[in-house]
Amino acid sequence: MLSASFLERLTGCLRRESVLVEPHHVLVYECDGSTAFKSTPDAAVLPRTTEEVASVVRLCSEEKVPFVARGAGTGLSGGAIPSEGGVVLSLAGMNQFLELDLDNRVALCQTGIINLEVSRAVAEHGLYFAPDPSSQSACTLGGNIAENSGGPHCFKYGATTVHILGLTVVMPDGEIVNLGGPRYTVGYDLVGLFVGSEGTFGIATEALVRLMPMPETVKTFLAPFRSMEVACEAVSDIVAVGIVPAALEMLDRATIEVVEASVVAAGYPTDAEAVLLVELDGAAHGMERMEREIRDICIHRGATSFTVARDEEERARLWLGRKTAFGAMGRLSTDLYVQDGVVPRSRLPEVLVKVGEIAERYRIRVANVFHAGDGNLHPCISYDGRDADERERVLEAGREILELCVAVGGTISGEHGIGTEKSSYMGLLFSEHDLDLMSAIRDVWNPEGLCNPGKLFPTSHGCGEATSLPSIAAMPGAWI
Amino acid sequence: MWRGDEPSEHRCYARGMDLNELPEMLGSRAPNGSDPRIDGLLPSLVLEPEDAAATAEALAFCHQESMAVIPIGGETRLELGNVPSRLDTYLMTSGLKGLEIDEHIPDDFTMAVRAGTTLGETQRYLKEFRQYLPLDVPHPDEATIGGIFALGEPGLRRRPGARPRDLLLGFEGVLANGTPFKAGGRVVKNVAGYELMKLFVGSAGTLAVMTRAFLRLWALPEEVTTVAIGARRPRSIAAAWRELRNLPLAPEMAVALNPTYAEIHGLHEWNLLLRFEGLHEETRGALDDVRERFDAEVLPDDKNPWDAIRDFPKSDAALVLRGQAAPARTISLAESWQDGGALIAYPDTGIVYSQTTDPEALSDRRARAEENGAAVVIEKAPLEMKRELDVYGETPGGYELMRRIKEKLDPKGILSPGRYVGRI
Repeated sequence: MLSASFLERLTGCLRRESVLVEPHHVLVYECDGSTAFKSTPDAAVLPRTTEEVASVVRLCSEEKVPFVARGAGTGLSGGAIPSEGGVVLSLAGMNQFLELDLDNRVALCQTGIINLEVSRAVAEHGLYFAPDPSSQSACTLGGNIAENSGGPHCFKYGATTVHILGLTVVMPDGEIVNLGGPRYTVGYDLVGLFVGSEGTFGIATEALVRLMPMPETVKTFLAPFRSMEVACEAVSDIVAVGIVPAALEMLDRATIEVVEASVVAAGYPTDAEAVLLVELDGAAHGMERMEREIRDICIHRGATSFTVARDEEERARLWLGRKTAFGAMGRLSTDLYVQDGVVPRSRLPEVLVKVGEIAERYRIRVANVFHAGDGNLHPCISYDGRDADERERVLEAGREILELCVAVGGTISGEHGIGTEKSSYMGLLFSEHDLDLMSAIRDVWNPEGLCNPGKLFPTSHGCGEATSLPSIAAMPGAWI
Repeated sequence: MWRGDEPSEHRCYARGMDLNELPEMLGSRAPNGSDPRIDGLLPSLVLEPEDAAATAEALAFCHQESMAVIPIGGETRLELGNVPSRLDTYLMTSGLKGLEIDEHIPDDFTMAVRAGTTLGETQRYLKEFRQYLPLDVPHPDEATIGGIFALGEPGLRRRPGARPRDLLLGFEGVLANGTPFKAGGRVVKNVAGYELMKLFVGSAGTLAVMTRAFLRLWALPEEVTTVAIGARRPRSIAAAWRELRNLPLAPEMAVALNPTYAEIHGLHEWNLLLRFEGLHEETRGALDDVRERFDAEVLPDDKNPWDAIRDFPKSDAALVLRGQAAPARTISLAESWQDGGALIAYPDTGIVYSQTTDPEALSDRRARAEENGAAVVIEKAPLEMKRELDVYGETPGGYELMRRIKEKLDPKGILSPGRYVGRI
């Protein structure tokens, strides 16, 4: 509980209506997209400027009150929830597009801006912001920075870290620092280190982002397969010939069925075991040949057809099915546990077979929809959270799947972050020394540990057991 | 620290210890005539550990003895950085040579390489698989993977995602106190844990010593075409670039040469060189697009200028400067530096390299850079000049954080002391 004097001082930091303390007001900040982790803050504040953020953080630092920044709350790893009460700083109101520098092709934005709004604001100049998490119509730039978010097109253009050139950061003691900028600067790459630090280093309030020229041509293809294994082999073949598609996405039969039965039916063939969604972008010259090569590879690998989206409308429909697949899974059960492991692309076929075996052994339902180009799996386990036995089986199966990813040389998170959800799994990847090194770095930025405590690190640094089952609200509007 | 008994052929004494009694795996020896000097200095001890475990032992030993260590790879860029504030030991990475062929997965476009392996060897091996590392640093046959990432120099390529920081998927290394660690992973997408790769790349041997790298590879392009566009005035080069950067196939490399340097490549006036890579149809199309707009000369393969441009920063000139401007000011900075010496400028990254025989040109060039909002890094200068100044010129935003990171990871300050930004 926060003291009355703290609350009084907090109210002095920003406009009175921007401080929320009533239980029914702060309740909405109790979880992110992964509803299994719930923890209500003692207060939530709605700052509009870097200075307001700094004054709140300074107060928290003085009074030793933990705090956590929050964007749109679309995260899936419990990264933006308060693990020890305290204050949530909702940056959703810091959504201003501040400056456009066309000569240098950069934009300065407040970090509460919605990802897609950045691209919309510069579209008339033929530019866009490349990172495109599926939640891009709702998630904020600040959340993308915290998680180093990916998205289907990061296969070609890289994750968020490639596109962030400078940051204004409110440090955990309230100091404001400016890192990076439009030109090369000397010294350690603190911008690169900050991106992906999951809100544990400080709060980024403004970001200078790179803008890319829109491609001259975009082509989207759909290839259904009779087996997931051969579909994965087609992916490897495409990449092996040196083609770098903008995106290479895969959906399995379970996902196709649920998408096609939903309001976002994309026209995926329901008799296919897998559909591969491929997008090429770039110069028109050469596009025809790349299309031919991809078509030949898919047909050679047994694709039952090869459809080219005829126009923007058809292209949008193919993508809508992919991008809203998770929401559509709400039809299957009350709860959904979505994983984010990555495996080397060449191991995808065998890993998917093993995931199927694990699902069978634990009698659970798994639907796969994933970024095939970079081996980033999203096994989605539907279950009824009220059934304790089923919960236990899902938990065990989830752990086995992550262990499998690590065993074949992969990792436990490709784009959702570790947060609260996977902190107990960090020991699968990192030794005590490795984790000590990371906590030493965190301590430099966040010596008191008040800034987003309880995230990323296992409580004992060991390969602990996950004690809580992460899940997302299985409903339309959930993205991955 | 080492009182410097004159190094003898067989024995090296320091603080009363006979270094020959050190474990053989550390490869300890006295420096000899073939060892490089850094800013005129030689250490009193050279360690050539035989592998990663021995590298950890070597650093643990130096840490215990509070000996200042400079890690040495291919010795290609030892002129970079401030004059060391202390120097006791060279830590050679020559024992860490070798491609890990078992860890090269061609279908995944990933591989593992020991840090002492040269870039040239790596590229020759990868060529058989029609793959490569998009790293362009001076003297690739000597430059090592560990050294390249430690310096993180901007190369020739302009595509986002082709910077050294974007190619290092993970690595193993040793901290100043001898603790081995790993960071990142081996797959192309990974957000588990902090991005320590970003911290290491460009840290210039001040935070850790890399022993092994996990790398992302690229496919060799089917075709490469280079065109040169000449212009009398640098402003025309800037205007040409503003138009050409919007081509459907973006040039992979783009560099402006001043007349002095263009001459070396048989070109005249200012020149904008563009290199397109891709399918045959793509590069042909790009060439047509350029020729529609400008009078452009296609450079034949035997006039490939890129290796020389790549090596440009490694020069015999007395003064080599690296200007760092916002991209839109690149040509303006280049123009202000054009008198007296060769110069190249990367209009999309804002990097300008200048060579000059006159060290006195420094103060004027710094003033011109300031007018253009640019910073100046002195890559090479006479020793007496280097002793008097900080070659990095500016104190970057977040410097206090940098200093605290260094202090946390290397509390005794033994790794490359004094050489880095702000004399970290």
